[in-house]
Amino acid sequence: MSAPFLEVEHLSKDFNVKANGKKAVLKAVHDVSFAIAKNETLGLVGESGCGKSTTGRLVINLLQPTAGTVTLEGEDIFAAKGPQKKALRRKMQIIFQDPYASLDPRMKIWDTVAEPLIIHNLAKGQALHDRVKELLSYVGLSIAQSDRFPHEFSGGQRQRIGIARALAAGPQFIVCDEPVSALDVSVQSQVLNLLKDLQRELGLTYLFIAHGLNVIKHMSDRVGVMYLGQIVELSPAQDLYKNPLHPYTQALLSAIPIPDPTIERERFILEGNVPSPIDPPKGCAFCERCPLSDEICRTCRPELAEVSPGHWVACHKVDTSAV
Amino acid sequence: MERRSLLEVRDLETHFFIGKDIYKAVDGVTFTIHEQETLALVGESGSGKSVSASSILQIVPDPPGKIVGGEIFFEGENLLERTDEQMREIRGHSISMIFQEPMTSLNPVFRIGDQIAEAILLHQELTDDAGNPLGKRARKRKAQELAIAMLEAVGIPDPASRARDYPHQLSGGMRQRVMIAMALVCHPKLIIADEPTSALDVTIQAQILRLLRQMQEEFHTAVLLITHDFGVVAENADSVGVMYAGQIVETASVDAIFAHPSHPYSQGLLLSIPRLDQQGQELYVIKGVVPNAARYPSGCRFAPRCPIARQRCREEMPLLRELEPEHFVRCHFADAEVNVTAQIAASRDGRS
Repeated sequence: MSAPFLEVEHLSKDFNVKANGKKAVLKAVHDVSFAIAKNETLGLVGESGCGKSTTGRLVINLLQPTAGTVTLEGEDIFAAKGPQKKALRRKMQIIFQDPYASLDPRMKIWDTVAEPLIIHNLAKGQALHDRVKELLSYVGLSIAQSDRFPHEFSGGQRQRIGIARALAAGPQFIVCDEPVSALDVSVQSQVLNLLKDLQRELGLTYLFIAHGLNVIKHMSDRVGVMYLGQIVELSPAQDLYKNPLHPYTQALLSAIPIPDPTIERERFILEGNVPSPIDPPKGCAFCERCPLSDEICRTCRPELAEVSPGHWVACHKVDTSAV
Repeated sequence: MERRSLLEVRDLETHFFIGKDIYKAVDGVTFTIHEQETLALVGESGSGKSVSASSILQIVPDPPGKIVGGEIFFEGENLLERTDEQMREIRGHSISMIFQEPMTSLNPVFRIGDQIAEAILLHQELTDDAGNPLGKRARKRKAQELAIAMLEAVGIPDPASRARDYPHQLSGGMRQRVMIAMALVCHPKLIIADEPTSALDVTIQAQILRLLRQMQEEFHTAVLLITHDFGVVAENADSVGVMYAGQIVETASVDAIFAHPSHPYSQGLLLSIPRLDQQGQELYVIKGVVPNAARYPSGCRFAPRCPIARQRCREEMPLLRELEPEHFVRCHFADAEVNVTAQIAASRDGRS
């Protein structure tokens, strides 16, 4: 395999918080490593608080990590300064979850979409106008709608405006942070199809973050499953859904209701809640809820290990039971 | 098996009067729930499912909302003819409700045990072992005991000390368990669950839905389940009502709706969900947007977005008609055998 387009190594992020009046450290992301090839979509899935959004923000330098590196085409994104950093920003963009909160309510759509072009000095005058028109047409909006304000649009249209803005500076890499979780199903399918079309046409690379395993499956080439700040399983999408190895992945898949009443399934329902990232378990992050856990799980943290080509899992119990 | 109907909603109309506009949030909703049955109301946001539910308990904010037409029969009696006082007796006792966001529906300044006990003290005659009515203090103690027993029944560990917690001390899943405990403590005949798991993570959602099913079996309760998730419908409901623009557009048994959805909207919704058990490249898209509730199109409300709409659809509102036994659809051209939307999706895939 050629050098990866985006490489994340041993990324960690701690937040200083107060818990019960005392200072504490919240380990939002802990020693996460993965790589994404050009034109690929890596899905990150997990429940709320597992660190997937924090990872997304770290990867495009919206947050400074506590430890670890991220390189985009060989360039360390946290070391970049000044004009170099600005150039990197052009290459990396993000689409946010909530299209109601992520657009400035006092900016017309034209200004929202044109702003990145002006900041990066990419177009002026007629060229600027043409480019905004082109960007809006990518996402199925017309230039005639561009002198309206965000509140005049529906949720799905707003999300498409957010996508047009993210595309404006001509990025190569886009973090999609739960782009459809706030949308109704009929609108969700429009936005998912649009993101796929754009990837094909513009040669984009995605880090696609979602909590819905069905959406992740539809969008991703490879999938990373996160639990309590760590990646517990990383695998080609097909393989992950056919042969989930980590007990948490199995539980997640089993928990999703399938829209077909004729399917009878053995349910594997997890007990308990996600533990607090302020004081995570010492050994395996999942040991408290895992039906297979024993002494070694409680004392020693499992490392990601490659079980079959491209399929990595962090679990003490997998090597012996799965092969 | 003879099934007795518990709740019958007929031609319910709940409108909101805002400024000069009349928003017809619920505009002719008809459905029946039988004893111990789970009926799911499914639809997108703004389709009127939650307003239908609030109308049953008459908790629609008035003004601006008003129930302007229809009948709601619960055990044969029309709830819309009850006085406010009689409705208070019904709420929480015969019919109770579980809301989507447990944090906003629990009172933050009372201990959860006291909140559950309140429902018992309001609605139940408490007696001692000999059947004599209890004194005030003994009643309170008995209600607390029942509340703790209920917390235990919904799977809250260490219920006696959790009963002394305030809502903010519990996780989202635990709060929803408390809501279920509160809803069930008076053994209602009907529970209205309005998106009970939409705010929860999937592994917690699975726990809560399993609990709701167990409780339903134990207490022989019927459930009106409001959701936008067809997966939740398939695994929990006996029958389904699909809502669009304030109306029921299709209602049938859960097996019928998934095996042969007949309304083009139901068909489109089912095709537009990414599925875990299927490999599809492009998702079906229902074109256009949900109409504004103050300005519905004349004729069929789905016509502007419908792939098979004809002149008649734009002029004449279709009635809910029986396609086959227990399967009703509001469409002039629907046919139990033909999935129009799937044909369109297939022909489009063939072209591209």
